[in-house]
Amino acid sequence: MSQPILEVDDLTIEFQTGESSITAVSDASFSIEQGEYMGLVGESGCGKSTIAKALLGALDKNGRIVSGKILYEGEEIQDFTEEEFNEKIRWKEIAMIPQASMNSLDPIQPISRKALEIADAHTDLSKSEALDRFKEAFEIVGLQPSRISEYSFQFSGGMRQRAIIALTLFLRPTIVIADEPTTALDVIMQDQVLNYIKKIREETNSSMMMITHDISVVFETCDTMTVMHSGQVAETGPVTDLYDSPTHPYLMLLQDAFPDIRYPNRDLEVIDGYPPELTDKADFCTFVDRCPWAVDECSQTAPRLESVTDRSVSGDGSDSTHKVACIRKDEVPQLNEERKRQGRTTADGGSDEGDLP
Amino acid sequence: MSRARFFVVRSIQTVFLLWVAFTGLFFFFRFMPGDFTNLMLAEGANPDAVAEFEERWGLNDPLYIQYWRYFMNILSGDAGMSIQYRRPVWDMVNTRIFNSFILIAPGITFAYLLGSIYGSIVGTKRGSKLEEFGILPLIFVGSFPAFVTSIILVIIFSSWLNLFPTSGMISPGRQAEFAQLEWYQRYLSLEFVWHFILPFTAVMFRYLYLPTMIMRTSIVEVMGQGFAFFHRITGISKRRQLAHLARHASLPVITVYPISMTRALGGLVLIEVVFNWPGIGNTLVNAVMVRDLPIIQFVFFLVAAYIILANFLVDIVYGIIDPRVSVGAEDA
Repeated sequence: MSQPILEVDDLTIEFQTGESSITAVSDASFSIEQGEYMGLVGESGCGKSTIAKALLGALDKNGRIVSGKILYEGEEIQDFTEEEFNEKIRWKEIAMIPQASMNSLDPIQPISRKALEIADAHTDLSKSEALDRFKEAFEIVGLQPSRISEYSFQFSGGMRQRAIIALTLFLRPTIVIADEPTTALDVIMQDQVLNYIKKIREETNSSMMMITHDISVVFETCDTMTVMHSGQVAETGPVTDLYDSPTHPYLMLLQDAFPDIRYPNRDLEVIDGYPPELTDKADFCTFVDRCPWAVDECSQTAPRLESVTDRSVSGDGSDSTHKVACIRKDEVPQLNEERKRQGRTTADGGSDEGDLP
Repeated sequence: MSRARFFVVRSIQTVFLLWVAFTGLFFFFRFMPGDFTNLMLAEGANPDAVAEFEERWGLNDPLYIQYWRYFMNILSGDAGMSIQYRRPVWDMVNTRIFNSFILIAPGITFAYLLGSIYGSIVGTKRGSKLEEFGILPLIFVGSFPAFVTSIILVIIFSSWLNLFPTSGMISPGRQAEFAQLEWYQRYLSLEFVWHFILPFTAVMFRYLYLPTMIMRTSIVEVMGQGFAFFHRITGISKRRQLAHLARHASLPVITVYPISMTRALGGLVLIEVVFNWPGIGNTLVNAVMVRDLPIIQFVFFLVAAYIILANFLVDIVYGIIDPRVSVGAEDA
C-alpha cells in the first residue's frame, strides 16, 4: 500500500477558555490516501470541524495542538506558522468547503475577484488563465460561467454553496475538506450538491475528507470512514467493512439508530446519555457511560486504535485498515448479537423484522 | 448601469432637498415673530421712516413675490444685502464661512481617519489590555464640551509651554501684510498653520472617540463572520485579509460621519469664541439678535446645504464601497 497523502497521528487539540481548558480532540489518528474519499462522522461537538481547521492551520486563537502530528505527503505540518500554511498548504494542497459556506463569500467582493485573489496568492496563472479555470469550475457545479463576476448577494443560498465549491476546486487541490456540505440544505439541494461532489471525483484526482453527522451521506459517497466520539476516534476503515461488521459499540448502536431501507418499519433505537466534556486529555474510553458492555477497565485507560483481525467477514486482506478503539473489540460483536436476540424475544418476535433474510 | 442610476436618483433627491431647505427657511423666518422694523420702532424711528424702509426693501409685496425674487437672486448668485450693515451678504460671510469650514472639515475628517485606524488596531487585539483601556482616554476627552478642551489646550500649550498663540488666525502685527495678498494665500502660510494647530486639535480630539468606538465594535463583529474565516483559509496574506475586514467594518463609521460633521457645527461657535477664530459663529449670533434676515437665511441655508451635501457624498462613497446599496437597488 502506498504512502497516505495525509496522516493524522495521535492528534490532541486543546482550547483555552478563561482559566480552564477543554480538550476537543484526544489522540485522534486516521489517514487518507491519494484519490480516496473519507467520511468523518460523529455527533455535534465531537471534534470533527476542529480537526478540519487544524489541517489548514486555522484553529481559533485559543486553540492549539498539544501533541501528535499531522503529516502531509510525509511532512509534519502541525507546527507551521500562518505564513508557511499560506505558502505550502492552503488551497493549492488542502482546500476546504467551510461549514455554513453560504456565508463564506465576502458580500462586497465579486466572486471572480476572490478567485483571482486566491490564484494570485498561490499560483503563477495569468489573470485570464485563472478566470478560465474558474469558469470551468463554475460549469462543473452547474452555475453559468457568465455570472462569475457577480456578487454573492445576487445568488441564492444553494448557488452560493456551489460557488464556494467552485472556488475550492479551481486550483485543483490535492485534498478537499467538505465540512457538512449538505447541512442546512433541503433534500433536493442536498442531492444536487452530493451529485456535484461525485462529479468532482470523476473529473479530478482529489482526495476528500467529508465531515458530516449524516452517516447515510458517507455510505453513499465515501470509500472509508472514521467515526469519532467525544474527541476520540472510535473506529476507522473501509465503509463496507464498517457497515457490514461494525466493531465499536458506538457504531453498532448507531446502526440501529439510523433508518434502514431494508426494514422500513423498524423502531429506531436511541443511544442514551451524552458525550462527556473533557477538560483534559481523555485517559479513558469516552463512550464508557453510554456503553452497555462497559467494564471497569474501560474507564481506567484510553483504548488504542487496533486492527480488527479475527473477523471472518472480509477475508481479502483489507482488514489491516479497519481499526477500532475498544478493549473488548473481540467480544463486543458477539455481545451485540445476544442483545439483539434478547431484544427480539422481549419485543415478542418483532413483527417488523419477520422478513429478515 | 444600475449603479449609475443609483447616483442619478440620489443627485435628484439631493437637489430636491436643497430646495426644500431653502423654501422652508424662507417661510420659517417670515413667520417668526419680530423683524428688523420692530427694532427700528423700538429705537424711536418714526412710522414714515419705517414705511419708507418697507417700501424700499420690497416688504409690502405679497410673500410669494418676495420668495420668487429671492429664489431667482440666489440662483443668479446674489445673496442680497445685510439690512444692518448695508453690505452684500456674500462679501460679509464668505471668508468667515471658509474659516469655519477649514476648521471643521479637516478636524472631523482627520478624527475619522485616525479613529478608524486606531479602532481597527484595538479591535483586532481583542482581549488585550489595549482593547480594555485603549479607548478610555478618548471617551474622557470626548465627554467634555469642546470649549473646555479648548481652554485646557490653551492653558497648557499657549500659556505654560508657549508653543502656540492663544488666539486668532493671523497675529495682529501681520494683519496688514496679509491684507495685501490674495485671499487664499494666508491659508498657505506658516503663520496660519501655527494658529490652526490648537483649534484643529480641539475639534479632532473632541470627536475622536466616536469613530474609534464604532470601528472597534465593527471590526470585532466582522472578524466573527464566515467570510473572515474563509479569507483566512484561502491563504491570502494577513494584510489583504485586514484590508477586506477594514473595508467592511468602515461602513458604519462612514454612516455617522455626516452626523459628527453636523454636531461639530453646533459646538463650533464656542470653540471659535475661545480661540477668537474669525469664523461664522459670531456673525450668525449677531445677525439673529437683530433679525438681519438676509444673513441668517443665507448662512442657515449654507449650513443645511453642507449637511445635505455631506450626506450625499456619504451615499456615493457607500455605493462605491458596498455594492449591495447601489447594485442591489436594481432589484428593490
